[in-house]
Formats: sequence, C-alpha cells, structure tokens
Amino acid sequence: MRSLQFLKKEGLHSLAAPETVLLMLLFPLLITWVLGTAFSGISARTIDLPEARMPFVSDGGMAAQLYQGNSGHSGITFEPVSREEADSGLMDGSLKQYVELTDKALILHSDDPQGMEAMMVRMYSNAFIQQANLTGLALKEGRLDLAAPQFFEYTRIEGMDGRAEPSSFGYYGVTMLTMILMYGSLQMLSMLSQEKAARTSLRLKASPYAMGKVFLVKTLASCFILMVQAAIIVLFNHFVYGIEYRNIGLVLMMVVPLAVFVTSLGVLSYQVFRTENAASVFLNILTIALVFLGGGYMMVSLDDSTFAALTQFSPIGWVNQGLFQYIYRGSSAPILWAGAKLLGLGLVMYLLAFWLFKKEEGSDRVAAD
Amino acid sequence: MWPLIKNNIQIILSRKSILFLLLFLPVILFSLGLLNNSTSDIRLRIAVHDEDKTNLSQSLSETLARDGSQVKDIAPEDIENSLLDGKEDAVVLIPAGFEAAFLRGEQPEVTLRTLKGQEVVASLKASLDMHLSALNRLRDIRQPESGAALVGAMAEAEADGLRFESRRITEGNVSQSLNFASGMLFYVLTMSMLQATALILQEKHWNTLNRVRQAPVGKFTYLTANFLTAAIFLLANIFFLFLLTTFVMKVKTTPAMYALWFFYGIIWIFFGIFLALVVNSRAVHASIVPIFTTVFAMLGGSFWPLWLMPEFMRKLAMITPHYWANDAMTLIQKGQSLFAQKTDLLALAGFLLLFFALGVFALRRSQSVENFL
Repeated sequence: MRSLQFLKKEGLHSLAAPETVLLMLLFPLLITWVLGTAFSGISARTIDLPEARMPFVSDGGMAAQLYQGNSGHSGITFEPVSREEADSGLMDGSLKQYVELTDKALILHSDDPQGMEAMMVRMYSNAFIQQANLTGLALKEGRLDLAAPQFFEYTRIEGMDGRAEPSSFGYYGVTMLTMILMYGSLQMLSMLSQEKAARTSLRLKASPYAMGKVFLVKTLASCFILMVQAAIIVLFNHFVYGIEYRNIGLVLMMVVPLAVFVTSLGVLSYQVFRTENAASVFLNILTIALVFLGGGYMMVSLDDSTFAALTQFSPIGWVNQGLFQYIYRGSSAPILWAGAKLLGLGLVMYLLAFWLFKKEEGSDRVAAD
Repeated sequence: MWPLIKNNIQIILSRKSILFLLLFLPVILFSLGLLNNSTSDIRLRIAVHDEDKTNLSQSLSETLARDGSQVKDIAPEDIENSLLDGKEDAVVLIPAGFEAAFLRGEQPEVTLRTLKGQEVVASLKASLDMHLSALNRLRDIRQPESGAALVGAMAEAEADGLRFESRRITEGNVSQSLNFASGMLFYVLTMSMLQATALILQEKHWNTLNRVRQAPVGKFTYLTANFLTAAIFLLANIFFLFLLTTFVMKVKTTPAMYALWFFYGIIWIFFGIFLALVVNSRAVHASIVPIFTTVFAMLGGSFWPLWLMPEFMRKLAMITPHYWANDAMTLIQKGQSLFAQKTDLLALAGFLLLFFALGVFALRRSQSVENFL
C-alpha cells in the first residue's frame, strides 16, 4: 500500500515537473515536425524535383524565347532579368546564380556549379544547345523546313514499386521516439535527486519505509512514466502526423526493454558519479552519441552498409533498425533480439546500481538518499 | 563591476558541467565538423544496359556523362536490386536494333527504369528526348549513311556553334567542411551563451540572492557583469578556435570569420539575458534551451544544406539568426565583404537589437534586482 502511495507521489512530482511536458513531450513532437517537413522531399531512395527558378539574362531574341519556352519539360522556370538587375542582385546578395545567353555561349554563373539546380540547368542547356546549333546548320544548308526545333518523346519512364520504406515523418516518428526514451535516463536522474534538492531525504530515511523500496519504486515509477510519455508521442504521431506503426500496442511493448535500459542507465550513472550535475553531463553526451550512431538525426537507408556498421554500436540503433524492420518489412526477429539484449544489459546495470546503493545506504554519500 | 565578473568566472570554473559546455564542447563539435568530408556535388547515378551496342547507343551514354551524371554499364540481372538498394537512381535500357530503326526514320523507344516517385528522372528524360530529337533533325538535314556518320555530324555541328559554360561568380572556394563546422559552432555557441547567462537564475537556486541584495550593486551593473562574463568566455572560445585552426587542424580562416562567430555569440548573450529575466524556474529554462537551440539550428541550416528542405521551410529558416550567420559564413569564404553585401549583417544586427530591446523591456517590467531574481 505504501509502495502504491509512493508511486502516486512520484507520478504527481513528474506531472508537476516542467521538463515532463516541455522536454519529454513537446520537444520530440516539435522535432518530428521539423525533421519530417524538412526532409519531406527525400526518402531513403528517391529525391523530388525541386521547384527550380533561375534568373535569365539575355537580349530577348528568338533563341532566348525558345530557351525559356522549352524549359518546362526539365522542371526549370527561367525568369528574365536585366543585366543591371542581375548585377544589383549579386551585390546585395539576393541573387545567388543566374544563366546568361550570349551570341557564343549559354553561361551558368554560379558558385555552386555542382548543386541540384545547376545540374538541372546543365542537362537542359546541353540538350537545348544541340537544337540551337542545328537551327543554324539547317539555315546554312538551306533546309528552312527544318529550322524550327523539334521535340519528340523517345524515352518512356518505367516506374517500379520500391520496397516499403519510411517517409520522412515515418522515419522520425520512430527515431525521435527512441531518442526521447533515451532522455528518460535524465528523467530518472531528476527523480532520484529531487529528494536531496527538496530536502526530503532525511524525512524518507526517518520513515518506516525501507530505503531499498524507495529505490525500487522510484525506478518503477520512472519506467512507467516513460512508457506513458512514449504512448502519448506514438498516439499523437499517428493521429496528427498520420505516421503508421503497423500495430501501436505491439510497438509500445517493443520499446519497454529500452525504457528499462535507460532507467537502469540513469540509476547507475547517479550511483557512480555521485552528483546530479556530473551524471547529467555524462548522460547528455552519451545520449547524443548513441542517438547519432543509431541514425536518429539523419535519414539513412535501411540497407546502407556504413549505417548498419555504425548502428551495431548503439542500443538506440538496434531498436531503430528493429522497429523499421517490424513496421515496414513485417519482421519482428530484430526487435525481439534487440529487446533481449537491452533487458540483459538493463538488468546488469540495475543490479550494479542497487549493490552500490546498498553498500552505502544511510551514508550521506549515497546518491539516492 | 570587476569583483562581480570575477565571482561569476569563479562560479563557472568550479562547475565542471558548465565549464565543459562553455569551453570544450564548442571546440570538440567544431573539430568533428571539420572532419566531415561531404560535398555538395549532385550527380545522378545512371546505369546503362545497352543491347544495341552501336555508335548511336554509345553516344547516349556519352551525353549522360557530359551532363555530369555518373554512368556505368549494368548486367540485366542486377538492374532490379541496384534500383531497390538505391545504388542507381535510374537504369537506361537501349533495345537491340535501336540505331537501325532510328536511321530508318522510325521512333525507337528507350526505357528509363526507376523507382516510382523518383522525380529527378524527369530532367533526365527531358534531356534524352531533346538529344534524340536533335539527332532526328540532323538525320533529316544531313541524311547520313550510318550511325557513326550521324554522331560525327553532331560533333561537327557542336564544334562551331553555341556552347555551354559554367563560371564562378566569386573567386573564393567554399569549404563544405568549414561550413559544416561553423554550423555546428553556431549551434553550440547558442547553447553555451544561454547557459552562461543562466547564472542569473542560478543565483536564486544557490541561495545567494541575499548576498546580491545586500551588495551596493545596481541592476544594470549586475547584468553588465553577467554580459561581460559570457563575453569573456566567448572570447576564450574564439581564441581556442584560432589555436585549433592554426596549429592542430589547419584550415584557412580569416579575421572576418572570427568576428562573425564573436558577433553571433553576442546576439545570444542578449537573448540569454532576456530569457533569464522572463523565465522564473531553472527547470523550465533547462527544458526550453535544448528545444530552442536544436529546432533553430535545424531550421537555420546548421546541420544540413538548406536546399534539401522545401521552399516554405527555406523561407521559415529566415526567422533564425543561424540562417543569416551560415549565409554570412559562405559569403566570407567566397571572399566577399559583409559590409558590401549588407543583407546578412543587417539581419544579424537586427536580431541583436531585437534581443537587446527585449532584455531592456523585461528589465523595465521588473522593479528591482530582487524582483528579476
């Protein structure tokens, strides 16, 4: 009964803590939106054609009109500007690149000649130049009937279905979920240290409730609250962003071992580093490194060999890959294997932390008193 | 003033976590950024399966390569997996008898196989269609007897005609590594300057409020001391970066770059003071800072090039100082003066004034030092 009351106390503490709402809920939802929208034009396999608008300096003659007129097929819109406007745009920084048509050449003025828009201009311009040169040749050969450029469709695009892959929102709906679960170690830390900060640790020591139980209930409460937060994030992602998780209930079950792992990590860090600040710095750095190695920030292919090698070193990577395999390929073996490893590691860390705690129980140095 | 600054510095030096964030993390992230070898080169990876193997079919591969794409041959059994695994963006299939049919005046078909949704292939299709349409016209003009003659005639027509050129606007070379490192630096400077100015909030948490109350210090003096403390650590950062780029990881830097990083840090000191004045709880502050710094850095192009993002996100990016700072960094690398191209400088100065004004406004709302603490 006392344990339930203690659990309730911890739950109320967490609800009242601003980081519960701001960092653990608002942060992942906001980041998922930013990353999902930012990379909406990119999936692991395909790149969308950007809306390329290119300033165009010319004398406005027939060649210039043809150059502008035929560019629609290539997805580029050429916007005529005068020489003065181009110079002024370059001076004030509002114009980054432009195309110029002279008697002798089509010139792409750009400091990023290998960029996407430059590539599109290069492809279209090379093809256009052939047509323009042939017009000159036709006139020279007296074939006025062939002077006008022609355009026939010789190429047929044959699209094939790719493998089921996450969209940008689908990708970050998983990786931001695991990232925020990883931050659960800091939440655990905050729960352990709050008794010291609020000076209620002596009251707890004087109470008939065993300190071992305090330790146990705090870790249970942290794990439970973390799962509630994960459920809120998953439901929000699904109903607001439309992210598919195949089976929400199963996905939540699948991340329970990660919640256990991060909770144990938080407890052990606190016991080893002794102070909240030192443990917090360690956990922040570790979280960033593991999320980065696990592909949390950058969208990468499920089959990429480099990425696969990196994820081997990150528990977050194991879970991310396992969840992707389950959600998009229907295979649950990788996530189950990841879960088993995380539960094993979590248990070892938890027992170690509990041993350290019991060793110095009652002393002022014990971190969770 | 000096005792206050000295006290602030001592407090920071005694706290390893803040010290790490203020002095070491910027250097570490900047160094990691310099190790990034990515380039902005965009090349389509195109494989060609040529069953015709004639002069005309081979000229198609040459045309694709001339456009800057990476072109290689592919065996038919590898096509599907190469596309599914993302090793190729598209595969061009040229059927047997293509040249013969073309020379007869027919319209033989080239197949462009790709994944559904691969929009960039539209540019490739337009390029191939225009090239083959040009060859069709040339065939009618010259009436060549063979594919080799047709390809030769096209080369001849191109030799004296219009040509395509690419010219740089500026002389300076933009290093993607330095750009990325600078982007990471903007991210971490934002975070560290917000932490440095959070000393105002820490005073309350550490119960040193009474000491400040009893000291003969005005609120502007107190805030100026906090500002100068953060500025001193910012200067230390810049100095460490100078040592790093000069002696350890040699990168071409200019005084304008250091000035930009310093100016950018000052902007966030002002914002940090404003934030510390309006936020009452250390926990709220600790939660807001990562959200604010990470989202702004992502939006502002500190982590990836802005062209990857859709148009409206690129416009949205302009509300962040990171966007203008990253743009200014590129301009400096190109050898341009920020005073000549004033947009970036004006935008950054605008942010500085805005944050300063917000700070003054927040301070005026509070009646005394005790209130704002």
